[in-house]
Amino acid sequence: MQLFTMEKLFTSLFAAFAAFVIWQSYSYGIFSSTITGPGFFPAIAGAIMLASAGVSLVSKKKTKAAAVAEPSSSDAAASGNRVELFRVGLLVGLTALFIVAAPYLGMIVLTPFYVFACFLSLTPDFRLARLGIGVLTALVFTLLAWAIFDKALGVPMPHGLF
Amino acid sequence: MEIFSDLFYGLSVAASGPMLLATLLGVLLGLAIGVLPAMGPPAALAILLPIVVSFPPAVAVAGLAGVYYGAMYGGAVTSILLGIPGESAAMMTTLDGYPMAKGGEAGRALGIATFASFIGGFIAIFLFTAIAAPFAEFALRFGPIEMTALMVMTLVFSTSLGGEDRAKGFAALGLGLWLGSIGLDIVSGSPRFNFGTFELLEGIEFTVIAIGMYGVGEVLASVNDTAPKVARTRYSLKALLPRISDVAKTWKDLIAGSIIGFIVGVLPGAGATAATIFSYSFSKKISRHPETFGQGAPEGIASPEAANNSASYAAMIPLFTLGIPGSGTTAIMLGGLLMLGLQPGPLLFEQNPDFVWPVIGTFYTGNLMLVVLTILLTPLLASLVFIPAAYLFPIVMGIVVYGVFSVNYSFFDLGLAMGFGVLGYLFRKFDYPSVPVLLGLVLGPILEQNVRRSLIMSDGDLRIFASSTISVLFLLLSVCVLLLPLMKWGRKRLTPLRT
Repeated sequence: MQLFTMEKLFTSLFAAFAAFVIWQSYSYGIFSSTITGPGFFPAIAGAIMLASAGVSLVSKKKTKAAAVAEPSSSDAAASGNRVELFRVGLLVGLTALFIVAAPYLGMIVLTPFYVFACFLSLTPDFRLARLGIGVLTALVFTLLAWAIFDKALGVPMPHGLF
Repeated sequence: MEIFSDLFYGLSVAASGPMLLATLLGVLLGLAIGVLPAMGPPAALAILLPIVVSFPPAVAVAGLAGVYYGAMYGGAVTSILLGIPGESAAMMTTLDGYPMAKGGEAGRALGIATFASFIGGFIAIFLFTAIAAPFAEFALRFGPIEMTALMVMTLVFSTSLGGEDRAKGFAALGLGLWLGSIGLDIVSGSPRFNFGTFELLEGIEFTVIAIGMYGVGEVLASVNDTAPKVARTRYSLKALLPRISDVAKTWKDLIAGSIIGFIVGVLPGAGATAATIFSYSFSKKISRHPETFGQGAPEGIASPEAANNSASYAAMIPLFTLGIPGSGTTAIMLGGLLMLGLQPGPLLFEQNPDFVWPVIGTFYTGNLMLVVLTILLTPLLASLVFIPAAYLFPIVMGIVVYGVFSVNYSFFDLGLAMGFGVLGYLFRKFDYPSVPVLLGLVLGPILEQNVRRSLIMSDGDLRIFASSTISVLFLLLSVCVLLLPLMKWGRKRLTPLRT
């Protein structure tokens, strides 16, 4: 899908969300005789969002990225976008997995695996030297995180089964 | 005279061990962040917030401010050596700094930038010391009506002048204002937009949104840009010391840049980038050899660098005296101050002098440290540029995970931060500015409180906002800025008719 179309889709969703905010604010009560209700301020916020998203939808101004990418629309640019989306998805997925697993397995235990997985997802280079740097980064970070957050700041981190 | 005794007290506290250490670490980290490609000052400050809140307020803010002004200088290193501005405010430095570096004068260019930053910083801190307290005293006269108008003006200025697409800016502002309204209503106490969850009853923690939109958003938006950069310039350490001939040649630009930077920096929304553009244009205009600008003119480095540093300090005046941030970075600092239990605003100087003056004292010590550290560490800083972002991003993600969790010990917050990270990524992709979200989020609850207090006072009559001269002035200025594009459009239409 073209970046310009994706942007319009995003702005449409934004406008729909703004409409939801206004509707919900109305149900909270905007004005009762002379006193403002709980929905008064969120309704203003929703109206600003809706009006601005509406203007943005009718505007023909393209994003910087779309303006640069479209003249060429080459396969290289498309494959670059796919790689980017894949990496973003991977990083978000890894963090989601961390959030789900950390209460059971422990935060400190999971951290080196998480950092190393992030490293691999950004540079899928399996040469020994590169992997070594990744492992070292993950271990040093875990040690520092444990020293700062667990020991120095006393953050009650879940230790899980370990 | 009272200012001198307060300043002397502030300087004596700023020279104590913990304050000096906090300033030193802040400046060092800021310099590194300014150089590193992985993140900017707002992202760094957001990630640091959960860590620094466990320190005494003055120590914490000394460190955060050090990161801020350290990063503003650090951006110049990459501008000069690589022709890539580390920060947007260092963009103008690239125009003459990079040609000088290519011509074998990288050291001289860095030396001029360092000296200009020091002078700009010093003039701004001096002006800050002189006007901040009287400014706060004047602002004590502001009631809810004036505060409402001031907040409206800040939000309109920041959103209108801060980005290219105003519609997207206002959409982002609306989102920030809505996010700020989540949780219990301040008047009736009824829950709003908590979607039936217990976790959202007290609203969303500022840090969670700031870390998500800036920290995670920046990483996600740069996942394809992880290759190391290549430099082709050389310089010697000796060349970093400023030459007398350069100082003599650029003194007018240094002073002009510092003053322009200060004035623009105080205005909400204009920011350091605008200050550097104005001061560069001004220096070019007053120069006897404007044709040398863009080809390695020392004045072309001195003027924007002085303006850049001056604006960074000046931006803290509205933050401290009115509780109003003018940029994303100062919005995060305001969030930090609130987390530390301080209420920035006119009363801060009166009620917390033992916090304010030591922090101002650290501006002086920090500015001195910045010069010494820059001269000593520039070779090391320059080498940081070559660290591939692929090594840094996993560490940033790790800090995000621990930082967010340590705020409320909640995995729900961590999930929210990731959600805001994805939103930050989409915002960057589709050119939506993130700064208005933070400004709306941090100023929204204060604005709502003042609007509703004013309307309670007037029994719901909106004309109350026209009852004060200051309020009318602020609102008129806001309307003018809002109508600016319409006026431009009208002029464009009329010009061909006239010709």
